[in-house]
Amino acid sequence: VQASVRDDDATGAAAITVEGGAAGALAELLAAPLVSSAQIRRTLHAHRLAGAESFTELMSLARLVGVEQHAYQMETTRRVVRTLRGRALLADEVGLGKTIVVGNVADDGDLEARLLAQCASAATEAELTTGLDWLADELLRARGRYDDVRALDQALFGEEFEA
Amino acid sequence: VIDELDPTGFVVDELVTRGALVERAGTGDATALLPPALAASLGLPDVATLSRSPAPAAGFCGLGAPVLDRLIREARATAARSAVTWAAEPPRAASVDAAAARIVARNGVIDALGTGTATVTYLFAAFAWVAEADERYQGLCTVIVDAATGAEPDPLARAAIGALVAGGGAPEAAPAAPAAPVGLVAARCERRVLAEVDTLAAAVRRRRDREAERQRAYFRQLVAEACARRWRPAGRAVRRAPRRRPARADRQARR
Repeated sequence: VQASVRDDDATGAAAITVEGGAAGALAELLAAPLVSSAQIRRTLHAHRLAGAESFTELMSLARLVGVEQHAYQMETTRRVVRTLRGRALLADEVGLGKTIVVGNVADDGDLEARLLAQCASAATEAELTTGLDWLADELLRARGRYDDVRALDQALFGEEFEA
Repeated sequence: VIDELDPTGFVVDELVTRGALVERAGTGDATALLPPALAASLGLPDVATLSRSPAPAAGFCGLGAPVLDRLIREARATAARSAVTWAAEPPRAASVDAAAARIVARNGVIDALGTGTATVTYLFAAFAWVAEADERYQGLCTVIVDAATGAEPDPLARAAIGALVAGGGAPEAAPAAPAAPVGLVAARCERRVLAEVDTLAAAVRRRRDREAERQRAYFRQLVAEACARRWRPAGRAVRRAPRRRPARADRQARR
């Protein structure tokens, strides 16, 4: 079931539409072959877990090992990922954890995929080289994912990774 | 410690279904012996320790773990359908008599003549919904209806049906798919999803209104600062221009 909410500029009200609940589609599902009810239980479990994995909970927190986390960093991460859609300029005092926030945003916002997409659409590599090089280094330090960043560097610039 | 969501439990169930041998400890962690092909496909070692929290020597399978994401994605890829039968025992006559004694009917006599069971087919449907607004929301709603009449069961029957679905078991022969309740189930599902999304939409609207008001206040402040005089000239620094004497022709005209 896909539910979408859109602002109606004319009336100022939110237009809500639900798709996928049609009786025809449901009748097709009821004609599907039977599975065990244990599989039904696992499927329901998967849906509950998927709901918990949405933006209400930062997935990056569980992956951080050996990093001291502060509430203001998590709040900033949520704001960047949820409200600002990953587009933000972080500016704060030295040592307050901007790099940790960047790592969290990259983890939760799938930044690497967007970087690759941007690189594919860029006119020249020079447009992205400076910024992406810096960002790759930051990601490396934030998350300790040397292999991934090396692969990212290789994919973006076609050269060996340099720490 | 096994939390309510229990991602490790889900991973364990999925691995067991795919042929792994898994032993779960009281802490919630588990040790799994995986077939080589399964281990290779999931990127896990043949003998893996599964933990819900990141640890150096254990495979992480908590929320956000790649292996959990993959298993969730595969489990949600298809709509599963099953049928189970519950052979409930009829209530005892003594229990019915005791219950009847507590019912007071005006101008009526209650006398339990006997007890028995009837066969009822219920349709239990679970719908996963996704709503995209300024955030992404997901939820699960269930609809249970009598397959013959479309009526919703009472709370006790709902609880029994829910327990039956959660209990697991082998599939039974499915009753003939009733045509009438399908449209009813779809309509009820849509109504429930709309009710839940409506609440979310109200929250989204409040949040956007707050943001808009914050932006308006910011620009009002900017305008006020731009309009305000930031310095005031000192009186002694400004020489007052001398008053000019009107021309002679003007003086005569005024007279």
